[in-house]
Amino acid sequence: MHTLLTLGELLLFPGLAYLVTVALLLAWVDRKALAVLQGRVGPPIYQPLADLLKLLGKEDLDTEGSDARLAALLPMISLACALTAGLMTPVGNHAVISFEGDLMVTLFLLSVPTLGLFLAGWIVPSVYNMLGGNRSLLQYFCYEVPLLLGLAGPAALARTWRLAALMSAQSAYHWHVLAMPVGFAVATLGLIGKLERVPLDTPHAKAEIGAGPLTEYSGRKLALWRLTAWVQTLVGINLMVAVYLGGADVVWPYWGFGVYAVKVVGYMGGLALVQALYARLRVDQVAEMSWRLLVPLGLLQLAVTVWMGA
Amino acid sequence: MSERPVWWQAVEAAVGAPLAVDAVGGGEAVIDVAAERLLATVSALRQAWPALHLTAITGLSIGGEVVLLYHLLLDGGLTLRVRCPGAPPNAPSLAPSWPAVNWYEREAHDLLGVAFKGHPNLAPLLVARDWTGGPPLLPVEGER
Amino acid sequence: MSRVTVPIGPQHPLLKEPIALRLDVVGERVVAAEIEIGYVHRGLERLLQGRTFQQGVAVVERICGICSHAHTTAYCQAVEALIDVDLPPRAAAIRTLLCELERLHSHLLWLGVLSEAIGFTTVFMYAWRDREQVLDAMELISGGRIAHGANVVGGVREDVSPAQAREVLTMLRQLEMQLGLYQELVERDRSFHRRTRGIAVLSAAQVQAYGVVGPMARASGATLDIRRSAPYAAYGWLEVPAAVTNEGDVWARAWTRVQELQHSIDLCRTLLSALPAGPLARRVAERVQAGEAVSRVEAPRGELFYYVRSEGERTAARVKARTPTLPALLAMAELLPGLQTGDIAAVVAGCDLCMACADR
Repeated sequence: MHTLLTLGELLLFPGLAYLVTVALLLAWVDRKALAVLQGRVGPPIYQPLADLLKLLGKEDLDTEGSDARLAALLPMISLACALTAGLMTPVGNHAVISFEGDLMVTLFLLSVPTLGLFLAGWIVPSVYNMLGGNRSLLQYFCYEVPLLLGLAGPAALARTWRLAALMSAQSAYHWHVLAMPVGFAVATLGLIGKLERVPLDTPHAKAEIGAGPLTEYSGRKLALWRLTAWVQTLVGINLMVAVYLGGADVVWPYWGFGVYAVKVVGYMGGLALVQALYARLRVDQVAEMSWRLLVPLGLLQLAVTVWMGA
Repeated sequence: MSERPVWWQAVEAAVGAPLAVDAVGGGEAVIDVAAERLLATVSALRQAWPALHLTAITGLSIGGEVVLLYHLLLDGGLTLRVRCPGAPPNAPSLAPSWPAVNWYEREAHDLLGVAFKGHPNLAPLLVARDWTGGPPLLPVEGER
Repeated sequence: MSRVTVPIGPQHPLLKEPIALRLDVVGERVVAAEIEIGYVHRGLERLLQGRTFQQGVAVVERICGICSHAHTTAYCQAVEALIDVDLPPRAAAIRTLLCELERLHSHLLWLGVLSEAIGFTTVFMYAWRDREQVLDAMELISGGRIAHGANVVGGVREDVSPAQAREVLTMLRQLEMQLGLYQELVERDRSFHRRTRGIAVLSAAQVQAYGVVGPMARASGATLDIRRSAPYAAYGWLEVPAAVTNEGDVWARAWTRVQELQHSIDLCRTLLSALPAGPLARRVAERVQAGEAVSRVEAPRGELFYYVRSEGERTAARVKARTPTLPALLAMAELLPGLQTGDIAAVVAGCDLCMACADR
């Protein structure tokens, strides 16, 4: 019985099926919010699913001169890591897997797709892929650190590295975003950089280098990369909602999931707003913003938190 | 024209002979310049007026002979008409001293086959790189 | 670091028309640039040689989709000078009205393209949405959104009724309210400044050397504007303000065009409220006497030049068009080396190239 329940959790809710479905829904929220902000109509709700299915049906080319097996393996590994990370982030007030230190493991698992993306660009002998891969790697180095620093703040405050505990600690005092807004901003920008969204989407700057690392990909591989990106977005937002925005606010256990859902959609809308408001940063401006602004601020916030808590 | 336009003296000095000026519709003037004196004329004009602007170089075929028209803009328009006899038609290139004419000369070379002496890079500009026909604007035997 | 050739074009998400840029890049810096054009060379000058001058209007209109009216205006003016026929004042005013509306739509198009190139999709969406209003106005007046077919040799084809004039004025009022957004973008948006300020500076000497015209030249301090220096059509009695600045970078080229948006709206308004009465066109014979004529027009991208020649036949002997994109391309070839790869998009989009014009 216990095994069946666990299997159900892993595969259905809040596991695989849930993660994939909500990733697609959240991708729609993103595009619809952006469309509304830009004065357009936007796509219907099934658009991300339709895109995915259409891509799965397209011809999957193997580029000459690239490693076909690695090219096929990378998106699968990336998707698997993103989904596994999703198992650890709380959905509502419940995570499938929870243990001390799972925040670190989640972040590690989330960094695998980014490295995978860089490799995917690197193995294809085309200029756009290579340039995109380089920029992707640079951005990875620039934005993992602010993200980590941003998430370390609440961990220091709540004195735990366990996501479920971080979430429930907030119901004891108040949301972490109120205690450390700077850390929240740093972590959000780190997340935007990690997800390669505007203004930090220079690795796949359409006007400059085609689709960046994924330029020569099509068909099933591209579909899996797209899905990975959407799942990463969902997992990243889950993480931020749990750590900073109080997650499901276990004070209202019956409405927990609804509260959590509202926060996730709201955060996604916030990311879409940032996308609508700014132009893309150039790659040197990306690095400059990270090392000159975000990292010092993140360190400062962390130092203040530790000093006040001591 | 009752009053002499601004460029009259300078151009006369450069051309080396009294000017015979035609009028062209649109209120502009056309001066005949021999191909050998083109460089000198243009240099004189540019020295007198550094703001001289070359609008275009029109190549055309009049009665089987290729003629180049250099359309200048200077307080009103002025056109220099240069006859380029010979096959292929020859003209000195202004490109080394005036970068603006570079592509106009390439275009004249493409469309009319004019060989500009001294042009740094007379590669095809508009015409397809594997075009085997003759210059498109040069009338072919039996064609108007 | 190794030297890599980044091919931009002939097909590339950045380009709206085919052009081949071959950029040699070391790391993130461009060290050499080569430009090849001719991908949309349709031999239109050759095509015009077998047509009557009136038929030629339809061909000339299709040299470019964005500045089609400027082309027909310049062409018709040249032929009218050749025939020595006077343009009726009402026709001149309607021609000018469409010229300015076309400038509006062209600059809005360009603003959208530049914003898209720097990743500012929101401005792209807004600019093209506003552009739709201008296209609707042009369709109302002439029947076409782009190739309007408004010009004939000797005048214009369709009249502007008072009701149409009122509708266009309403559209202009609405558009003017949106302009505040673009002014703010150019003057205050830090995100926009970061991607356009100080990039690819074109000096006044380079403008002279390459013969650059239009807003690109005016952004580097040149004052050449055919509407002011050699007024044609109704510009003789219109006051055209100058939008000139000295910075010469991508930002300056953006600023110049955004100013011209406001100026065009004002000019359209003046024209619509004071359309002279009179005939729409003069009758013109098909057979044209021998002779030659030139005309210059300030197209949205700069000085557009036409030369026409007749040898007394029904058909044209030679029609030559020099479009403003050609010197812009020459200048761009000088601006590209030394750029960071991230700036290529802003520079190429900022030069407002029209390859259909350049190739003909």
